[in-house]
Amino acid sequence: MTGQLVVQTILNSFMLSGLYILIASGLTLVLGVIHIINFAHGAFIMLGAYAIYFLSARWGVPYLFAFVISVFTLGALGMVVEKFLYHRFWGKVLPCLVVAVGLTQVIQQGALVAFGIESKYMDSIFRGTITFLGARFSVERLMVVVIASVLVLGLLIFLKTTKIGMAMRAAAQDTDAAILQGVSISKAAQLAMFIGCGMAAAAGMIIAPIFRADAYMGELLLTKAFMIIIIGGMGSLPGAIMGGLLVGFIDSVGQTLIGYPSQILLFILVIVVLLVKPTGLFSGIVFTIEA
Amino acid sequence: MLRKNRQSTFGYLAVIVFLLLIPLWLKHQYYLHVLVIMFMFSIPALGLRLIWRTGHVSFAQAGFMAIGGYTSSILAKFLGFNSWLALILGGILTAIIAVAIGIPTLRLKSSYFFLVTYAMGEVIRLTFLYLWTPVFGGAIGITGVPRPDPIAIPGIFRLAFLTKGSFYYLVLFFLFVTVLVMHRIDKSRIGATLQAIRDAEDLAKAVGIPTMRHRVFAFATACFFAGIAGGFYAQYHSQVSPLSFTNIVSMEIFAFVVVGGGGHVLGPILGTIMLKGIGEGVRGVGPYEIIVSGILMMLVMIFMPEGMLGVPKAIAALFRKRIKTPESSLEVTSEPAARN
Amino acid sequence: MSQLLETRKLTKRFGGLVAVGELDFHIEEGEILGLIGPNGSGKTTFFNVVTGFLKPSRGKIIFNGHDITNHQPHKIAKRGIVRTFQLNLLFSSFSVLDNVRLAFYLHRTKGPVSAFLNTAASRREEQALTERAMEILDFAGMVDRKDQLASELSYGWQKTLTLAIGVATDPTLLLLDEPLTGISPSRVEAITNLIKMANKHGVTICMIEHNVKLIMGLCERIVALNFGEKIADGLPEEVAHNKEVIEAYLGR
Repeated sequence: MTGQLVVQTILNSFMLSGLYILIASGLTLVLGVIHIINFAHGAFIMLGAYAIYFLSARWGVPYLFAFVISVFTLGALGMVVEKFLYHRFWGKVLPCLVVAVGLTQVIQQGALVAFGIESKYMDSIFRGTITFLGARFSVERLMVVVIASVLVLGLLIFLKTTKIGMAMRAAAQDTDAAILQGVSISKAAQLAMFIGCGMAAAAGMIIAPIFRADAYMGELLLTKAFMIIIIGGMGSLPGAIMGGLLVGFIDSVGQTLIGYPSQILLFILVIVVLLVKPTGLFSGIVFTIEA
Repeated sequence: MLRKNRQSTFGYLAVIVFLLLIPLWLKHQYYLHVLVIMFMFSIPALGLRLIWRTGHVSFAQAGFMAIGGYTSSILAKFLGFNSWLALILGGILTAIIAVAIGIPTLRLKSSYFFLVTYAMGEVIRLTFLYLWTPVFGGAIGITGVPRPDPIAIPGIFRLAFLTKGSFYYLVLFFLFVTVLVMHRIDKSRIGATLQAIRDAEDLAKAVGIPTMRHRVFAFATACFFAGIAGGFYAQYHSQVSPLSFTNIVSMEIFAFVVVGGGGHVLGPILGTIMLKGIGEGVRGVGPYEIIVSGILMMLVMIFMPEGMLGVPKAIAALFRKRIKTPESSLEVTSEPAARN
Repeated sequence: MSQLLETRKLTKRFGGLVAVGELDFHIEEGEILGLIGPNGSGKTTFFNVVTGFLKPSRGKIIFNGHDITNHQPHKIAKRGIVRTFQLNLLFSSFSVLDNVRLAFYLHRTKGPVSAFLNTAASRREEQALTERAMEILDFAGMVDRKDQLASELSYGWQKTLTLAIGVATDPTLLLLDEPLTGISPSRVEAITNLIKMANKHGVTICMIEHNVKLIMGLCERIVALNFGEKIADGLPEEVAHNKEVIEAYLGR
C-alpha cells in the first residue's frame, strides 16, 4: 500500500540522513581544522564495522562497551595518522591525499587479507520493531538515528561551549590568530582527527548490523560524504547536517521512486551546486573554511 | 651535449628494439599477459600525469576507461563497426564526455575537483552496472567483444589477432603513440603553458593565457587515451564489465604515477611496471600488490616526492652537488590549502 | 589626452563589507597614475575587479570605448590591460628567461598544432621571441640572471621580474600592485627607471603604492582611496597635502 510505502521511505530517509550526517560531520570537521580532505575517512568507517562485528557478534562483548572501546581506539588511530602522516605536510592537500590513498589501500586490502573476502553479517544489536503510522521500522534503524543525533549534537555543543571546542573553532577560522591566542594548532589537529575518525568508526558500527561489514563499504559511504560536503559547504558543520538530510532523502525517496538513476541525479545536483554556489548551499553559519 | 643526445637516442632505440623482440623468445603466455597488462595500464597513467601537470588529480581514469571500453564494444559487437574505427570512436566519445564534465568542474580548486572525480568514477561504474541492462549487460557486462580486425596487405602479409603476442605488439604500439604525444606536449610550449598554469594560475590569466581551455584540453586528452586503453582492454579480454573499472583501479593508477614519478614521461610507465610487477611477484593473492603499492606511496611521498625516477637524479646530485630542479617534484607545486 | 580606462559607479561588496563603493575613476592615456590609500582601502580589490579577477557588484568598466565589465581575466589581458600581483606571483619552476617567454603568449602567431609538431616556422618564432625576451631582460638588468630559477631570486629581483613580465606582454595599460614595496633603494631606482622607460614607449601605467614619497616624482597624478571611496584626485603635491588623505593615513 502506497501510504505505508511513503512512511517507510520517509523513515528510511531519516536513517540514511542520520548515518550520512555522522560521516560527513567527521569529515568536514577535519577539513575545517586541518584544511585537508582525510581520504582515509572511509577506511575508518570500515574498521568500525569490523570492530563491532568481531567484538559484539563474534566475541560477545557487551555492545556499549564494544562501542566505546572501538570509537576511542580508532579515534586514537586517527590521531596517530595525523601525527605521523598528515602533520609533516601541514595544509598541503596533494601530499596528504597521496598518503591517505596509500593508507586506505593498505587498510582496505589488509582487511581483505586479514578478515577474508566474504562480507560479515551479524544479528541486530537492538531487537524488535516499532510500528509508526502503519509502517514497521526496526529498532536497530531507529537507533541509527538516535546514536547519530546524539553524537552530532554532542559535537555541536562541544564546539560551541567548551574551551577546547572554541579553541578548535578558532584554529579552523584563522590559524595565525589562533596561534597568537595560545592555541596549540597541532593539538587541535589531533583532536579533530580523533573526533572525526571516531565518528567515522561509530558510523561503521551502527550500520554494520543493518547492512554488513565489508572491506569496500567505506568507499561507497565516502563518496556520499564527499558529495554532501560539496553540497553543504566544505568545512561547515551545519552544511554537513543540511547536506546529509538532503542527500539522505534523495537517496531514499529516489531509490523508491526511480531506482538507480537517482544517483545520477544526485551527481548532477553536485555539479549544479558547484556551478551556482561553489561554497556550498548552506555554508557560513558556525564556521566555514575554504579548502 | 650532442653526444649526450646521441647516447640517449641510441639508448631509447635499444630499449624499443628489445621490447619488440620479447615475444620472440618469451613463449610463456602468462608473462606475456602480464606485460600486456602493464603496458595497457601505463596509458591511463600517462593520461593522469598530464592532468597532474595542470595541478589537478583525477580519480576517474578507470571510469573513462570503462566509457571507452563499453563504447567500442557496443559499436563493434552490436552495430558491426570495424573494430579499429570502434576503438577510435570510443576514445573520441570518452573525450567528448570528459569535456562536458570538465567544463563545469575543472575551474574548481583541486580539492573540490578530485572529490568530484571520485564521485564521477563511482557514478560511471554504477551507471554501467544498473542502467540499460539489455545493452550494458549489468554485472556481467558485455561479452563476446570481437577481437581486433585483422590487418592485411593483400598478398604480402596478414596479421590476425589470435595470439597474446599480437596483442602485445598492439598495446606496445598504443603505448608508443601515447608516449610520443605526451613527450611532444611536454617539450612544446603547450606543456610549458600547462606547467605555468599549475605554478601560478592567476599570473597565467593575467598574461592572457586562457587557463580553462588548457585545462579542458589536458583533461580531454588524458581521457581520450584512457578510453583507448579501455577499448583495448575490451578487445583483449573479449569482454568488459563494471567490475574491472572501479575506484580501486583509479587509485591504483594514481599510485603508478606517484610512485613512478610525475615529472618525466617515463615515470608512470616505470611506476606501473614496478607495482604490477611486484603484484605478480607475490601473485596468487591479489590484495598484496595493492598493499605494497599503498606502502610505497606513503614512503615515496615522505622520502622521495619525485618518485622512483628521482632516485638516479638524487644520486647524481650527491655526486655533483647540482641544484635540484623542482620541475618534477610534487612538493613545490602542491598548493597550500588556503589558496585562493 | 583621451580617457583610456573609466569606471562608473564601480562597487564591490563582500557580504556586508563594501570594499569598493560607487567609484568613478579614470586613467588618461599615456599617464603614470598613482593609486594610494591606507591598508584595506580597496586598492587591490579595485585592480582585481577591473582586470576581471573579481566580479563587480555594480557599475561599469570602460576600456578604450569598450565595456569590459564582467569579462574574464585573460580576455581583458588580450584587450591590453595587464596587471602584476602584490605577492610576487611568478612561474616558480621556470627560469627568469622562460618566465618572460611565457609572457609572450598573446603575441604568438603560430598555433598550438605547429608548436606540437615543432615546425620550422614555430621554431623560428620561438627564436625571435627569445631574442625579444633577452632585450627586455637587458632593460631590466637581469641578463646575467636569465637561467636562474624564478623561485630562487631575492625578493627585490623577483619584483623586478614581475615587472619585466608585465612589460613583455606589450600592454596598453599596465596595472602595478605595489611594485616598489619592500625592496632596497637601488632596486627602487632600477624599477622606477624601468617604469619610466615603459611609459616612454607608450604604456599607460597605474601603480598602487603604499609609500607616497616614493611615487611623488614618478606619477603625474595621484588618486587616493579610503574605505573604497575616492577622497582625492590631482597633482601629487596637492594630494600629499590633502587633509583627508593625511587623516586617513594617520588614522590607521
